[in-house]
Amino acid sequence: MSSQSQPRTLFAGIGSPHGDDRIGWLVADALREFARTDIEIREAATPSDLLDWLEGIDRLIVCDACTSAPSTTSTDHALHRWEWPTQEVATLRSANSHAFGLPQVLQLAERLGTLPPVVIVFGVAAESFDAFAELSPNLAAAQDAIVQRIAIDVGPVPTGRRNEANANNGRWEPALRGEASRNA
Amino acid sequence: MAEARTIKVEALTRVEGEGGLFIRLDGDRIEDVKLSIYEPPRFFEAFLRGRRLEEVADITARICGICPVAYQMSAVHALEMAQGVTISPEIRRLRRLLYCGEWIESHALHMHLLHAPDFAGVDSGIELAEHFPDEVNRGLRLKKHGNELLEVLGGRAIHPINVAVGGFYRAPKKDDLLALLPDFEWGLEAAIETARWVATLTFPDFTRAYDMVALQHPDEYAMNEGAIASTSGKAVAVTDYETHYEEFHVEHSTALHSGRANGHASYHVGPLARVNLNLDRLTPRARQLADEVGIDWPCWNPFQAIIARGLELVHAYEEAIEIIRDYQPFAPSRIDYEHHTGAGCAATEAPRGLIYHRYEVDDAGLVTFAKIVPPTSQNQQQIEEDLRDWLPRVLHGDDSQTARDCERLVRCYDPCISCSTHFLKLTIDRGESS
Repeated sequence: MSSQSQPRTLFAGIGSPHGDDRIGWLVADALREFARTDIEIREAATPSDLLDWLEGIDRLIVCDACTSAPSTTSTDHALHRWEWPTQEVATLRSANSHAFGLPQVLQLAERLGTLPPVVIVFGVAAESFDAFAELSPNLAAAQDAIVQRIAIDVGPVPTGRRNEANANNGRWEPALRGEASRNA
Repeated sequence: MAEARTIKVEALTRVEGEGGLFIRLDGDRIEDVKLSIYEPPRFFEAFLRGRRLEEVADITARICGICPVAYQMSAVHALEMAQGVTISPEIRRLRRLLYCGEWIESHALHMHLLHAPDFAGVDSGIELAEHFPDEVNRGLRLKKHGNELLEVLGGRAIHPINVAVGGFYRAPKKDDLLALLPDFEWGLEAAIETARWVATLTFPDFTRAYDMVALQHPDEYAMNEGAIASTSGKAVAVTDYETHYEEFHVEHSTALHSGRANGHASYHVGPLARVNLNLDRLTPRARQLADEVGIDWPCWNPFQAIIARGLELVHAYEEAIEIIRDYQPFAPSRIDYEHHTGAGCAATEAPRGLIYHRYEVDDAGLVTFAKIVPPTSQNQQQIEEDLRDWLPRVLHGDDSQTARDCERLVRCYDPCISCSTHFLKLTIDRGESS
């Protein structure tokens, strides 16, 4: 962790404009609306983009669409959460399957000593990647819950979605249902 | 009777996108070599029809996360031809600067993380980082410079949004560009070291008689403009591209292959073709380096494309520094035009090679036809032919080693299979393979 009093957090949503592969960017957009201003939020088109942004970062949180992710019971909409290092992320195949994939990027950063001490990866099970398509109906229905679940980690003490926080006297209650372990 | 063997590489590692390789042998006789593409087709060309021509640059930029500028540049130049727009010298120069950013980002990534491992006796960029941490860190810094330049010029690094038909939506601020200079001055020296480093790698002694094709311009190292030159014939105008080069369907791939129009002979596009055809138009330090790296140009060894990339990396830094130093804000940043029915085409040089676009638009400014020929689809046939020659040298008892050796050759082309946009309908290629 850096010597500064406030640890620096980077959230990176990896995605593309193609169907469910949008989810990383959509989560980044949504988080921007209510995350603390000291949290850096970025959209990446390829996992290797992350390598440009790690300097001085203490916590890295990544969200990417995935296919063939390991089975999980972590949520009722197939949101997977891993804390690096984990063998499960190593088997994750990103929908945005560029050759230097997310596991390789994390391993490389680790090897070079640039990987932040805390790395959390969210994999969102994806159904369709049609060019310029919107999210599939199932994922669209789960989008808010996914954002809210990821926001718990991004916080790390979430100040709440602006509107909901105001309505709730500043207290934010995620609406996620069915979550089991946070440490899949 | 000779033993029949099949070698399959289900997913090519360190290749952008999804592709596979299929090799069938009868003893030592090569029966079949196929580079398969099985990424779900993306119907970008169909998707563009009916869209406003102003949307095309942003839509095509999203075809690939690695080389959005290449798609944008070919698109806007083609559409400017269709609308009779002549851009100013200032806009033209800024577009070259933007392309420099993409070449730096893409070449640095490919050289250090995807290709150098093949010559360093390691299996991945991660392993390479263990043996060559300084070189890999250097490569990552260079890659970052490219992205930072794209961010200043393009509005953002990922899928730049500032490129418009007629110019740029907003000219960059001088101070924003000047702020990049210290990094770029360091980067130029680092790029030279990188080029020298890759020249020391050990390359297989493998040369072929290629028909190499790239843009050529009388006054500059061609990026955005020029005639389509070839190492085996006369240069032709970009407007004649489809007369001389043709796409065709092969059953094992959902992407179209390209070949010479008469007989579909293969050709080779990419940095090696560019350097071979434009050696004397490299910037001074890149040109000097070309003499130092121990190659008697033209070079016909595809493995040494990594050296050509190194020279272009140096070139891109040198040119970028010159443009940034001379830059003065200008107006208008975008040339106005009125919609009218028209057609236009353009070819530019993506990091991986020549990329050709053609569009037709109606008097309301809507696209009625789009054709995109990316570099990887042009190189596909060439890669298969290379593999036929390469295979006898790498046939071992160990199929997995043979497969790895074949992958090495494929990676020389830095194929971006997700960029092979010109897909056919799935119904055409299902169930028809022999």
